[in-house]
Amino acid sequence: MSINKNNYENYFLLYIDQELAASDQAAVKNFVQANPEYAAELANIEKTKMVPDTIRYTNKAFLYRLPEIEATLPQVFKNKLYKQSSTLLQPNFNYKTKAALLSVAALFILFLGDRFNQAGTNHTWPVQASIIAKKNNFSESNNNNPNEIKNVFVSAKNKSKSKPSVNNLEAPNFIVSNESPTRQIQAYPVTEEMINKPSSLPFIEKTIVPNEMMPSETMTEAPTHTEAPSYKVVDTDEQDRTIYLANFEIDGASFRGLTRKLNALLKRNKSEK
Amino acid sequence: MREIEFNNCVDEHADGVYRFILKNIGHVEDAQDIVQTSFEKLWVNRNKVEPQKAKSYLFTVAYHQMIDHIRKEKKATVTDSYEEVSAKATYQKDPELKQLLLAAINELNPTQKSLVLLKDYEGYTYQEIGEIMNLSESQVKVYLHRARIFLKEKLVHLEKAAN
Repeated sequence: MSINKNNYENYFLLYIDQELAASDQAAVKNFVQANPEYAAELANIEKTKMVPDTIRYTNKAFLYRLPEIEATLPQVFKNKLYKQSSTLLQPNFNYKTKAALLSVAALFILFLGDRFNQAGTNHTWPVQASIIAKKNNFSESNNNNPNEIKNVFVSAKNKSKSKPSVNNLEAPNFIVSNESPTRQIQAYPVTEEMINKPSSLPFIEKTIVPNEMMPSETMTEAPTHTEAPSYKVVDTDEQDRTIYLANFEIDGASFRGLTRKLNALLKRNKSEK
Repeated sequence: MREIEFNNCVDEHADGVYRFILKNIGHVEDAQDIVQTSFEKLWVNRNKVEPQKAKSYLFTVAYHQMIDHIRKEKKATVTDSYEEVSAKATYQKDPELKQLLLAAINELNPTQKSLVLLKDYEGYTYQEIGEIMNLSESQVKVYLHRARIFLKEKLVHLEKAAN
């Protein structure tokens, strides 16, 4: 098909789009030369062709992929970039270390034992103390001045199960009762009549008085003495049942009744056998 | 496609894709985002795309990204930043004609504008443009010729008005 006045526009458009073959391009040039009135038309169509701008994409660095570039880097350099992970301490138990650890453990056990013994001897058990004082020391107190009244101090700081020491009771010239419902220590002065007739002594069972008859937090004193002694009331029913073993504190309430339960269980097993 | 070939694609085609998108939507940041997305997709599909087809793939992805962007924005506007970039980067014998042509091109619809830009800037054939824009070769030819005729008449009208 040759170019003519009816189809020149289509040829011109294909010409500027460079979609024509070389022969057709030559045909368009010849047509324009032969028909100069169409040269302006071709020029107007050529004006619609845009000239490429020089526009740069400036963020190419964000587009690059670098694994292979990284692969070309020396390993020594890459190792410097890595965060050094903390290495766990590996214990090296050689014979020196073992000996040192055993020594420390032995010293610790000795320290604990010593502290435990100290804690055991420093405490007296109030109920047992009263019984021992009544049974053992009552006769010894006969040789002393019966009118001399000395206070009895019963230590109940801790609820240690240690056996009370008789020596810690200083001149127990009182019958100490710990059997009252209020669990308050009550002391009665020892008189000559009581010393001469030990059989008529009021034992602890007889000293129990009803709770409503006892003044709370006071010591009952015999009215025969002119000098009013002062008594220290010790509350042995304190709620703090903490057991101290050296520097360790153990909640004693959780162990309360444990031995009784164990004994009952052992007896039961024994009876079953 | 290996990393080195991908990086070569960045060097060779990032400017063209960016220019094509920038001329179409006229917004620098959006154009940069579309370019970045296009190269991300190329990287994801690097094992499926042959290096010689990478340019066409990039323009295809970028074009569809741009269409989505235009649909989202409803209307592509020429911003000041675009004008500034164009003014700095323009290589044109006749600056006045350049401005008139830009004004005329902005009156084209997105498809015609893309056709003109792909043809004039990138030099794609009708067939390649059709592959990029999911058009047949005859559709590309018809749409592009309509755009040229519109631009020619617009330029003639504007030149007469200017004179």
